[in-house]
Amino acid sequence: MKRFLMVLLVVCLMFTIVVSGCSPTPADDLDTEEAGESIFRVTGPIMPKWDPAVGSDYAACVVLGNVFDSLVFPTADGGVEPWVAESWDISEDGLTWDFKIREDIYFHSGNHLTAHDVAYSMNRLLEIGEGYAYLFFEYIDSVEVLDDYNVRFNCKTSYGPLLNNLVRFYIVDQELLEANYADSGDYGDKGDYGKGYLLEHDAGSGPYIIDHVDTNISVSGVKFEDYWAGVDENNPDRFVVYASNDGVTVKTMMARQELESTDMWQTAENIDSMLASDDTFKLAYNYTGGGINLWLNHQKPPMDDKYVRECFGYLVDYAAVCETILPDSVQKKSVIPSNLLGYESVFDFEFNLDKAKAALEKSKYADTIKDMKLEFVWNSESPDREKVALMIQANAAKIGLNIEIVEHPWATIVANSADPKTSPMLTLTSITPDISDSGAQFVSMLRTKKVGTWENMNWVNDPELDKLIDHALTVVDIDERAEAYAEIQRYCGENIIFIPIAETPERLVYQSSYVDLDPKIPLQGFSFYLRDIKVYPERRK
Amino acid sequence: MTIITTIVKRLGGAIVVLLGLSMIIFSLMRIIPGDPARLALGPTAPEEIVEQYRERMHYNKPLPTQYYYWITGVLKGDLGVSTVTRRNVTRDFAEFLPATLELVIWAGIPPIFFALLLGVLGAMYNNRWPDYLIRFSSYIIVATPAFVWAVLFMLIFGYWLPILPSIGGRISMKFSVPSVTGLMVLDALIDAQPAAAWDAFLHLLMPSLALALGHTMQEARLTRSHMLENAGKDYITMITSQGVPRRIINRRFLLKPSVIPTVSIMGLDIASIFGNAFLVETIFNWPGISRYAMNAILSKDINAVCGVVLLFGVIFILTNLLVDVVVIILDPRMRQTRTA
Repeated sequence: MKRFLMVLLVVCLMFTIVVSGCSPTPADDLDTEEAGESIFRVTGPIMPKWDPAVGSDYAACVVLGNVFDSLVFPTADGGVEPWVAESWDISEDGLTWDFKIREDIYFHSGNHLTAHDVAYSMNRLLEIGEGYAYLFFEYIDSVEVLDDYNVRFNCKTSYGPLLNNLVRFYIVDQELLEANYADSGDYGDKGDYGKGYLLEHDAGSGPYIIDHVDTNISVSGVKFEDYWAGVDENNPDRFVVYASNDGVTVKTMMARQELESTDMWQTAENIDSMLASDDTFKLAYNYTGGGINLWLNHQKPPMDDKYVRECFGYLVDYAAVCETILPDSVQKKSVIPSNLLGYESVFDFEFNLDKAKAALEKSKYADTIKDMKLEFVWNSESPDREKVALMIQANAAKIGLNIEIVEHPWATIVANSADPKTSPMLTLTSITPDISDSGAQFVSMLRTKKVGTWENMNWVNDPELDKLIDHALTVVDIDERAEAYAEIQRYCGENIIFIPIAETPERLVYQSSYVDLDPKIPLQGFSFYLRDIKVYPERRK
Repeated sequence: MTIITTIVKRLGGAIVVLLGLSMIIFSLMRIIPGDPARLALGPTAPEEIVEQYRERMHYNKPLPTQYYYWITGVLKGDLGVSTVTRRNVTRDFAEFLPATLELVIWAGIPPIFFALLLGVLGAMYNNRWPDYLIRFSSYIIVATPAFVWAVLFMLIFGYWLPILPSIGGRISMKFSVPSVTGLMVLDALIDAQPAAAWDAFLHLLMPSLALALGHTMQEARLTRSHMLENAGKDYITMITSQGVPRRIINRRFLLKPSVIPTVSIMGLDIASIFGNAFLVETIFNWPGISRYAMNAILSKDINAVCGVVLLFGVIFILTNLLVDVVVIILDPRMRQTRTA
C-alpha cells in the first residue's frame, strides 16, 4: 500500500512539474509575440455578427467600426464628418441626397470602392432588413448610381436624421460578396446574399482585416496597412474579441496580460477587485448614453395616471443608484441621454417621500392604490437591476405601496413585450443609442406600435406624441430639428412618460502600463475603435 | 445473439422515444410566449421583414403543419437555421459537438479507472485512514458543483499559479490544426504536431477535471460500498476458506460483480455531462454543445433547442445501450435471463 501511494505521489508530482514547465506563459499565449506584433484583446458577451445587414448589438459594433467604412463618420461632439462620402448635397424638399464618393478607397480584397458598392450595400441592408436597417427602412425609397463616384438616395419623405444615421451604414464589397453567394438561400437568385460568407470573412475596407474566426470563441484581425485614412504605427497590429466575459476568467486574463481591456459588462465588484489587485490597471470611461430607466406600462392601471407615475419619480434614491449601485453614473433628467442631439433637461426628480405622497394624493387611485399589488419585473441577467428594484420597493413600502418583485429572464421580458397585456407594469430597462441623433430613440421608445418590442414597453399610445415625433423627423435643418426634439422632451416631462434614473458610462479596466485607451466618440462600440487605441508592447512587463 | 437482439430491440424503442421527444419539445417551444420571428430578428427589425421571416419559417401556419415541415427536414438531415449563429443547426453540431465530446471523453473515461481504484482502496482499507481520507474528500467533492471547481481551478492554476491556459477555447491561436476527427488532441497528433497536441491537452485539463471530479468520487463510493457488500457474501467466505489468496479474491471474485452497478451509473454520468457542462464551458470559453444549447434556450432559438434536445436524447439512448451491453458482458446472470 505504502509503495503504491509513493508511486502515485511521484507520478502526480512529475505531472505537475511537466505541466508547469511546458505550459504556456502569458507571453507564449500572445500567439503573435514572435512576429513582434502588438495586440489588443477584449472580451464580449457573445460572438459578434459583423455582417452590416445583420449585426447591431454591442459586440457587432466593435467589429463593424473597425472592419468596414461608413459613408460618414461620427465626431466627438455628436456630429458627423465626411468619410467615404467626401461631400453631399440635399435637395430643398429633403427628399434627395446626393453623395460624392472618395476615389482612393480600396477594399481588403483589392477591389476599388465605388458608388456601385454603396448602392449595393444599402439595397442589401434594406432587403435583409436586420441590424441597422431600421434606421433607413421606412425612409429610403431607392438608391441610384449617378456615376462611379456619385450616388443618390431618394427618400419617401423628408427625413432629417438621415445624415447622422449614415454613421451606421457600412459599405460592403459587392464583387467579393457576389462571388461568394451560397447556392441556396432566402433571397432568390442572390442565394443567401453572402450572409454565410460574412460569418467567417470580412468584405470591408476598414482599418482592420478579419483573418481568424473561431465560432463562439473569438474573432481576430490584423491592421490594414494600406488603409486610405491611415493607421498609426502604435495602433495594435492585431485585435481579438473573445466571445466570453465570465468575471473570474476576465480577471485572470487581465492579471496574466492576456487581455488589454475588459468589456463594459463587468460588475462593479469585479472592477473594484481588479483595480485593487494591480496599480497599472486603470479605468477608461465612455458616456455612450447607456443607463437605466423605470418604465411604466401606461395600459396597466394605475400607471395610466400621471400622478402615480410622478410618485414613482420621487421614490428613487438617485444618489444611491449613481454612487453605489451604478458607480460613476449621473442622474438622467430627460427621456433621452444627454449626449444626443436636442437634449433638454425636463425632469427634476429627487428622492423625496413627502413629494411622492403628495403626488399620490392627486391621483384618481389615491384611495385604492394601497390595496393594489404592483408588479415590478427585473431582468435576471442584470443583477444591478434587482438592487434598484429592491430599493424602490422598500421606499414604496414607506408610503404604503405594495410592490411585488418578479425575476424574469431577458428572453421572457422580450417575449412578453409584444403585447401591452403581457408587458410588465414596472420594469427597468436601458437603451443605448446607436446614433447621436435622438430621432431613432423617440421612434423606438415612444411612437405607437401595433406589436411591441422591449424598447416600447411603456405603451404610451399617445397620438399627440406621435405627431410631434413624426414632425421632428421631417426637419432637415439641424437647429430646427434640435428644437423639435426638445419639444418632444418637454411633452414627455409634462406627462411623465417614464422615469429616467441614471446615465451610466461604459467602465473599462485596461492595462495602462502599455496601452493608451481613451475613448473619443461617445457611441456604442467606438470605445474600441482601434485607430484611437495605442499599444506599446515594449512596455509590457 | 443475445446482445444483438438487445441492441435491435432497444434501437426500435429508441425511434418511438425520439419521435415522442421531438413532438414534445417542438410543441413546448411554440407554446411558450413570444414571437420567434421577432426574437430572431431583434426589436428594431421592420415589421414587413419580420412578416417575411414568419412566412419563410412557416411560423404563421398551424402547429401540425409546422411540425410536418420541421420533421421532414430533420429526417433529411436539415435541422433548420439557428437564429443565434445564423448557420444550419446541423453544421453547428458538426462544429460544437466534437468539442464537448472531447471534454466528455477526458472527463469520463480516465476517471473511471481512478473511481475504481479509489473504490477498491476504500474497501480494502475499510475503516482505516485511506478509507477515511477517500470518504471525507468524496463528501466535499461530490457536494461541490462542477462550476465551483472550474472557478477554483481558474483561480489556482490560471491566476495564482499561471501554469494553465485561462481562455482561448480548445487551442492557442498560434496553432492551426486541420479537423479530421474533431478531437483536437487527436487531430494534432494525426497532423504530426506534438506541440499543438500538448497545447490542446493543457486547454482540456482544467475543464475536464472540473467536470470529472464529482462523478469520479461518487462512483468511487459506489464501488467501495458494493465491494464491502459482496465481501460479506457466502461465496467469498467459501473461496476464502479454500485458501485462495486475498489479491486474487479481490480482483477476480469481488471486483467484477461490484463494478456492475457502478458501470450503470457511469453511463448516466457520462451522458449527463453533456447537459451539465454549460457553466464549465462558459467559464473556459469552450465552444461546446452544452454552451450552445444554453445560449439557444436563453435566446429562444427554436431550431437549435429542438435539435439539441433530440441530439441529447440520442446520446442518452446510445450511452444507456452501451452500458446495457457492457453489463450483459460483465454479468453472466443477465445473459442467462435473456436466453431463458
